[in-house]
Parts: sequence; structure tokens; C-alpha cells
Amino acid sequence: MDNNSQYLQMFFDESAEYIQMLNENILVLEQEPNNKEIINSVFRAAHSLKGMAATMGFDKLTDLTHKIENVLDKVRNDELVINEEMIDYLFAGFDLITTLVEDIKTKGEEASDISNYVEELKTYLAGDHTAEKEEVITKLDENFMIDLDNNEKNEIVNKMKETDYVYQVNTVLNEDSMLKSVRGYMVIKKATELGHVVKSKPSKEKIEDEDFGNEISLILVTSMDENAIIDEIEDIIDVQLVIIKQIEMVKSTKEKDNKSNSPENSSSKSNSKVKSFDVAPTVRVDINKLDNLMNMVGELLINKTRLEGLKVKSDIYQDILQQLDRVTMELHHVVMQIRMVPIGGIFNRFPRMLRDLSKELNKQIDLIIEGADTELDRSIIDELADPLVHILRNAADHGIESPEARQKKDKDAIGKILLSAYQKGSEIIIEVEDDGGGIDPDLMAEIAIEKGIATPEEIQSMEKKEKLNFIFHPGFSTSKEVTDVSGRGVGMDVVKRVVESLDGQVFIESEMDVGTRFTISLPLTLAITQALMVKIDEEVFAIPLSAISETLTVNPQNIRQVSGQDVIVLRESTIPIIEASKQLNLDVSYRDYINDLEIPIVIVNTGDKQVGLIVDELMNQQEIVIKSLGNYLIDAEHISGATIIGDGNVALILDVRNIA
Amino acid sequence: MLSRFHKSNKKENKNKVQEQFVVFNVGQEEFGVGIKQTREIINVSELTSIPNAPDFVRGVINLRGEIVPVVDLITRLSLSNSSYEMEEDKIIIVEFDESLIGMLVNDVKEIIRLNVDDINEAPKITRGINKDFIRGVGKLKDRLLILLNLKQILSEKEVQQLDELVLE
Repeated sequence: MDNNSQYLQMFFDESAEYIQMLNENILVLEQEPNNKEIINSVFRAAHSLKGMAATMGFDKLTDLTHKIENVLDKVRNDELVINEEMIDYLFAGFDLITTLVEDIKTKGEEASDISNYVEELKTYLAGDHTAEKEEVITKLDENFMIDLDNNEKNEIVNKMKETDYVYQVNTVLNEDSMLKSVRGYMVIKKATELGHVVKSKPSKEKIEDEDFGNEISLILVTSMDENAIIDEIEDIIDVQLVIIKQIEMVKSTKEKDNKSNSPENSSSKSNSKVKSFDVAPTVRVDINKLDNLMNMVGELLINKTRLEGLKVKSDIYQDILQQLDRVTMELHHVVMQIRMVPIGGIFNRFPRMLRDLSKELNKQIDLIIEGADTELDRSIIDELADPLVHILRNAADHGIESPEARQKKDKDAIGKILLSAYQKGSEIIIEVEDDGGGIDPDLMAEIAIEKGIATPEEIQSMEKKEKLNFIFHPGFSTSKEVTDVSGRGVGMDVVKRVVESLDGQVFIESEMDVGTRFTISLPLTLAITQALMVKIDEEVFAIPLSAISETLTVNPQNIRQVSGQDVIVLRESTIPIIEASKQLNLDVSYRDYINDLEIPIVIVNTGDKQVGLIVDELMNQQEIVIKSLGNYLIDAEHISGATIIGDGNVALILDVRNIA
Repeated sequence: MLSRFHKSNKKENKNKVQEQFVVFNVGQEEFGVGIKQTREIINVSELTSIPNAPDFVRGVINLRGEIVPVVDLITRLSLSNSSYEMEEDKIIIVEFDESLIGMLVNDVKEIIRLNVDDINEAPKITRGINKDFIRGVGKLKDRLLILLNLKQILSEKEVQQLDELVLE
């Protein structure tokens, strides 16, 4: 039983990978229908999936993948042309595979019905979709198809530049030509001028000896396009017909070329090839084990801090402490690295989603992904998928206009959504930017009034930014009609909540008719961070350094008042100052600070503004291990967690994001 | 032989299903909590209070590296004539919803076995304690043991609902 569940887990993990691979590769295939390499990898993925399903005894899944494999086989053998309709069928099939796997996961059996799909597929295949082989090819004598051996393929690869194509050029000479060998020689010579001739059939020698029929085939590597080559060769006297066919070759790196160069060996090597889909050799580790490891590193760190607090006067003690410090730091660093995964893991599902969405919405949308290799803590990435789906759906549904509307505005009919991720200091920034219609702040304000979120008076004094921020308010949906895609009144508030639960922040910027940009900033890791320790009402609190812009002590004389609010002027900007104890509703008397000689203030970034937080005492800066307060205290305002400090006591972590 | 022994043993148990409870005091009252849910009993250590938390949460403690919230049972159960001494008090750590929660009590007395048959439903108001917080009343010779319903006591959502009920 245990064994079985272990295999089952492996099956789930691997099938998820294969399904993702299928989806990705089919998208590429839609763009490059002639890319044999891709067709082969798609085929292999489907085949492996089938094998796995059969081993595990999932009959429907085996049947379904088998059917899909058949289709792919036909594509591979040029019996089927790749068009949008077929791609749609394939996607529908992949979705069904996903559903079946999901069924197995949740219900333990393959509950969903696949017979409909299988029927549809059958009907589709029964129709006449066989590739119309170009007249050209059928005309050609099979003998004239040129086979290349590996050396010749390597030669092509070496000669090829990025812009080069590989063609097979078949030239048919006039049957009654008097000077066949001369004409043949001229064809070869011309081709040599146009590019690099890899091979010809018949060979040069045979042509010179006039030992050939009336057809010459050659493999030509050139940057010219097909028509230009035909024009050039047809100019030669006695040339009756020139037929040209492009041959797909993988161009970029040598490594890849080796793969494409040896299709003959593919059957014997297929196992290792399937493995090579994975980016790097990896070990699959249960995420819980990593969590445990991180917790233990955390405890080590706490104990190290406690040890430091002992202040023993001994050289050996100091020495050991330094060593311990180095080891814990490195251990922490390594564990953090292990937990980091590229954000591409969630990004790569979006091209497919956007393709489906644009069809559904009858819009043309181009999704551009940047920085997919940016790394984030695994636990953050897992949580991030849903918010990004919401934002992207919103961008596609509400942001990007219909092609007609776009043309009226003199925009490119194809809307663009840019999804990018990058690291900025100790933060990861994720941006979703569209070049759509933008959001009207006044419309937002109107709806906010309508829904009772704000009063007209409040709106009066609001800036554009604040009006736009209504989008994050629970129960706020601007969609005029509720669609399948978005506009269910949930979404953006969920985005905000999830991002904040990850200690991140989300901002919106929008310009009418120019576009909208959502920016999510997240901490690199959740578990351990640098913090400033402060004292508020005799208790120690930690403020994460990422939220602090600076600390200072202020003389009460330098405090000004602006409409009843105490402020300080710092390098020409006015910053409101508030008491931390007051924000925390602590039972102390407020505004005592005005009698102090020096007031310690922490300038924090809250939302997109700065606020000076008055504390009782600035203490030290140290590394803290962030611990959750548990579900039980999740609602405690302005407290995001707790940490254990040197003396073994608990210090609360101040959440300054919404503090003012 | 062995199998027969097992059988007879089982039979005996069937007639008298027993449960073990940790008995503790808050003020004058005696309470019980199922031993299966109880993780450990500790002395009161430094408590860190949490601003903006529900009033019945006394604070959090560091239990060997884990942050554990501590519930003030006097406030929670509205036991008006009781108070905490702190130095003498104990914290019972219970496992609830996969997390640990501490209950601040005056004293932990003993562990007892109760026949399930001897557990009765709580009367509507048991010495001023809301019925929802009580799982039942255990009869123990001449003593009455109030068995707590941790689910109600430890989940905040229920409180809000209860408050709303009271308001209505």
C-alpha cells in the first residue's frame, strides 16, 4: 500500500511534468509547424505518459493517450497537417488528460468520460485532413530524395548561420537537351554561387561524365528565399523545372544540433532523450522535508543568538562563536538556495491560458514573458499562481480592447501583455503590464460611491492613485457584465490578500488608453530576514529591514503640525509621524513624546508612502527567524508574526504595510 | 491461546468504553480535557502579549522554538470570581487543528478514567458557563467534572457568531 502510494505520487509528479511539456511544445508547434524536433518531443512525451498510465493500470488514460499518440504519429509522418483546428483538438485532449489525472488524485478513479472526445477525434481524423503533399514531391522519383549522413549534417550545421535555410533543390532538365553535362555543371555552379552546396545527386563527377538522367537534386544552405533561388536557376538554359523544398534543421547551439543530427539513433537512445527534457539533473525532495530543514536552521540560529548573549570572556569561546556564526550563515544560505525555484514554473502555464482566453474573448493578445528564470522561495511561488491568474485574466478581459476598438485608437490590433519578473535588492518584483484601455479613476470612484465603499466627500480629496486602489477593495468589480473570465466581484481583493499574506505588496498604475500595470513586490524568502529591534511600551518588537527606509532621533522642536497631524521635515519632504503604541492600541498615554528630549523614529515604507513610526527605543539589528502566530491569531492587526530573541523570549514582528 | 485472550479483553472493553481526562482547576471549578488532545503541561514562562488580539488570548510563549498562543480561560469562560496567580499557574498545551494552543489554568490535579456512560449532556447553563463551550458533564463519585469542548473554546469564529447571537 505504502509502495503503491509512493508510485502514485511519482506518477502524479511526472504526469504533471509531461502534460506541461505537451502544452508548451504544442504551442511552439503551432508557431513552427515544420519543426520535427518539437513534433518528436511531443510524441515522446505522449508516449511516456501512455506508458506510465498503462503501468499504473489506468485504462481510460492509457486509451486516451494512445489515441492522441496516434494523431501525433500521423503528424510526424506528414499524414496530417498542423492547423489551428487540430491544435485545438490536441489541447482539448491534454485538458482531458489533466482531468483524468485530477480524478485519480481526488476520487481515486478515472471518473470523467472520455468517449465523447474519442468520438470527436475519430470523426475529425476520418475527414480529409491528410497533408496535401506538394505536387512537387509526388512528382519526384523517390531515388532523388537525398539522404544525408551524419557528417554531412554536421557540415550543414557548421556552415549555417542564424539566417540560413537548408533547401533541397531539384532541377529537371529538358529531356532533349544537347549539352546535359554542361547544363548540369551550370546548375551546380549557380547553386555554389547562391550558397553552400552540401551534396548533390548525382555527384559532380557523374554529371561531368553525363552519367545521369535529367534530374539533379542538391542540398543547398543559403540565406536566400525559395523564389529567388528558383528564379536564378531557371535562368539557366535547358532548365525545365525547379522544385524547392525547405529542410528543417535546428540552428542554434551545437549541443542541440547533435540531437537533430542523429534521428537514426533516436530509437535506441530514446530513454536518455526523454530525460534530457529536464533542465538539469535533479533530486525530487518532499517540500515538507525542506520546511523541516529550514525550521531546524532557524532553531540553530536562535540558539546561536542566545549563545552570543552569554558574553563569556574567553578567546576560545569567541573563536567557536565565530566558526558557528559562519557555519550557520552558510547553512542558511544553502537551504535558502535549495528552496528557491525559478518562477518560470508558474509562468509557463500562462501562454496556454492566454491563448484560450483570447479565443474566448475574440481578442488578439500577445503574451510576452520576461525573467522566467528569476528565483523565489518555493512556498511563495506556490501561493503566487492564483493571484497572477487573476491579474492576467483581468488584463485580457478588461484591459485589452477588442481589435476594432484598438484600431480606432490607432493601436496595433494585437494587444500586448508583458509579464516580467526580476530581483531588486532583497525583493522580487513581478509586473503585469498591458497596453489596453487603462482604468478610469473617476469611474472607479463612482462605483465606490455606488457600492458604499466611500462617500462623495471622501472622493473629493482623493488622488488618482487612491481612486485606482479601490480595485483592491473586497466586493468591487468594474465589469459591466459578469463574464466567465473575470468580474465575479472577487479577484483583485484576493490578489491583495494573498500577496500580503506572503509579506508582499501590490500596486496599480494606470493611464487611460495607454495601459495598466500591476506590480507585486515580494520578499526573497519568508523564513529568515534582517530586522531592526525596537522597544514599544516595554515590549520588544521586530521591524523587517525591507520595510525601513531609515532611522533617526528627532528633537521635539523640529516637529511641525499640518492639519492636526504631527510631521517632520526630512530632506524637503514632509513625513507624518505616528506613535507605534497608538497604532497597536496599547494601553498607554499618548503624545508623551513631545516632552522627551530626543524622539526615536523609524521611517517605514507603508503602501507607497513613508511614515515615521515613533518608538520608545531603537535597539539592535539582527537576523530573525519568522514564525507564524498560527491561524489562531492571523487577524491580529499590524502583527505579521513572531520571532524568538536571544533571551528565549518572544518578540512580535510589526507589519507596517497598513500602519497609516 | 493468545488470540482468545485478545478477544476476551476486547469484549470487556466494549461494555465499558473509557476515556482518560486531565483534570484541572480554574478558580473553584473542576474541568476536564481529553488526554488524547493534551500534549504536555508546563509552568508559566514569560508571556508576550499581542496587541489587537482577541481579549481571551493572554499572549504567546516560546515552547522549544515554537510560538504557542495561550488562552485565558477565566475570560473565555466568564469565570468572574477567579484570578490567575501566574507563579503557581500552569499551562496545558493541547493540540487543536494541527496547531498547538496553551490553556492557562490555576492547577492541574490528576488524570482520571471516565466511562463514556457517565458523561451526560450539559444543562443549558452550567454555573454560568455557556453551553457551547461544554462537551458534557462527567460524574465522578461525588464530584462533577466539566468537560470542555475545545473546538468551541479555541476557535475565534465561533466567538464572533456567539457575540452576534447575543446581540440579536
